[in-house]
Order: sequence, then structure tokens, then C-alpha cells
Amino acid sequence: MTDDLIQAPPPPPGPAEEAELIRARQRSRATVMAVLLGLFVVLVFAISIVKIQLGHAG
Amino acid sequence: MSTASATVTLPADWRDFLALTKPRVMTLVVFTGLCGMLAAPVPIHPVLGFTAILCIALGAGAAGALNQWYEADLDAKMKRTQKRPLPAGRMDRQSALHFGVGLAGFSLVLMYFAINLAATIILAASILFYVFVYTIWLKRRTPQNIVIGGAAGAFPPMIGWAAATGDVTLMPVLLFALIFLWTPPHFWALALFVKTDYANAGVPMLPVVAGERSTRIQIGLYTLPMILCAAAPWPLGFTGPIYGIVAAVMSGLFLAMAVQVAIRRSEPEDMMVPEKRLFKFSILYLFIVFGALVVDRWFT
Repeated sequence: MTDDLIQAPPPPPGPAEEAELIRARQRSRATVMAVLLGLFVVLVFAISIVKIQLGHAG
Repeated sequence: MSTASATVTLPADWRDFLALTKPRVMTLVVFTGLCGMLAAPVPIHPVLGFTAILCIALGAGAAGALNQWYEADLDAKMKRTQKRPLPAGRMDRQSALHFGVGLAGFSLVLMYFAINLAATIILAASILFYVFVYTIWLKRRTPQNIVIGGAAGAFPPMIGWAAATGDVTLMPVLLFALIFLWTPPHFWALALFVKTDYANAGVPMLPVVAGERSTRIQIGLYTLPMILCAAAPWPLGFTGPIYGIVAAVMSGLFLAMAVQVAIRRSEPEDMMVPEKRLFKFSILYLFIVFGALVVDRWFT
């Protein structure tokens, strides 16, 4: 009974609510992507420095 | 293969993409890869070591995502997996496919440019093996699916070793063999107590196809070569006594539990306590044995 209540799907949102929900999802995905890209840039920079130090550059 | 039935209207949440990578499975993959790298005789620069482990994690995540893309219909039939993003209808299959392929490509390119060709080739082999050989070819066709498919999960220590040294010797092959032989007892112990779930989904796991008796015997049979592989590095001179003693003790406990599972018969309404204990212990076993490998390298 409890499981049924927990798993019951929420009522479908109206068009305005749905548009807002989509924008919120897109915002959160864009934020995560931006953070990951920032970390990737830092990683590539660090790898480049290490490779130069180890004499593996080029 | 069929598509998941639920309709998707919203773009998937980033947490669902994370769930697609099977983070819990990834912890074991990352840990064994890290241990393979730290046990290698050549030290690796911490930044490059981190990058190699990141690539292993991303590669494993990509394989997990592609597995879930292909098995959306199967996952929908099993209690254990029906809340995953695809069967639950929180993501469309095309997004999962694009994510999996993109992540796999990214991990391989990064591994090649940052680390070396040997590690890249083994990483590529492990992803392709998991997706094509295990997921697409074997899983729905043979009860030996996880025996052969287990090779995919056995690659990480070899990748870690290759990342540090640039080549593969007998020691990483032994580590590969250890995980390869560990996989059948580990998964069949699980399959014994979730048999109904697999049967409902039509997955030919050994207990479903060959019966419980045969599965129990095979758990015992695979445990014997597994403990030989676990013990071998010490007498062969690859490790010191710290690893040797830990591996011997842990393997002895594993064998005792496996024998207990092998010789018993389940009763109606059986709680399957020895099987659940073996399954849980098998995870601990791998963590402790691989951890001992690294500790041994540091102290001997």
C-alpha cells in the first residue's frame, strides 16, 4: 500500500508548468555541463604541464 | 530487443545520466584499476594516474550506459532494475545511446593522448567486450553469459598496470584471471536468490536453465582456480608475505563459504542466508585482496 502511494505518478503538469519544468531541467543540465567542461580544461592544463615536465611533450 | 514502453516528454535530468553509468559497479572497477596501477613496479605521476583512473571510470560508465540502452526491455521486467532511467520512462533510448557512445569515445581519446596506447587498447577491448560480447551476444543466449562476459570486468587492473608501465606482464594477467574466475561464484550466488527475477525476464542464468544443484556445484568448482590465482603472486615472487598471508586467509574464508553453498539444498521458503553471505563476502574479498596488493607493494 505504501509502495503504491510512493510510486503513483504525479498528476500531469499544465503547459506553463511543463515549460517551466523543461527550462529548469535545461538549466541544471547546462550548469553541470559547464562545471564538467571547466574541470576538463583544468585537467588538460595539468596534463600538459606534467607532460612537459616529464619531457614527453610534442 | 524492444524499446522501453514509457513515454518521455521531459529532457532527462543529469542525475539520470549519472545513474546510467552504474556508479556502484564503477566503484569496484575504479578500485581494482587503481590497485593494478599502484601495484605496478613503475610509479606514475599523480596527475596522469588520476587521468588514467578517470578514463577507466568513464569507460566503465559508457559500457554501463550502452548496456542499459540495449537492455531497456529486460530491465523493465526485473524488480531490481525497473526503476532505472530507461524502463522508468525518465529518458529516451536515443539519449542513452548518444551518451554511451560519446562517453566511450571521450574516455578512449583522453586515455590515448594523456596516457599510452597499451592502456587505450585494453580499455577499448573491455568496453567492446562488455557491450558486444556480453550484452548483445551472450546474455540472452547462454547460461555461461557471465563466465565469458566476466572478462570485461576483469580488465581494469590490467589497464591500471598498463597505464603505469606501458605494457602487460604475467602479474596483471594473474589479476585479470583472479577477477575473471571470481565473477561466476559472485554472480551465481546472487542469481540463486534472485532466480525468479531472472526467470521472469527470460535471462538464461545458470540457476534458471541448469537448475540450482548444478549452479551450486559450479560455484564450488570456479572457486578452486580462483583461489589458486589469488595465491599465485606470492610464490611466483611478484608480491611479498603481506599480500600472500591476506590472500591465503581471505581465500580460505571464501572457499569455506563457497563449499557451504555448494553442498546445501534450499528448502521451500528458504531465506538463502549462505548464498547472500557468499555474495556479500565476495565483494569484500576483492576489495581486501586488491587492497593488500597495494599495501604489500608499499611495505615490501
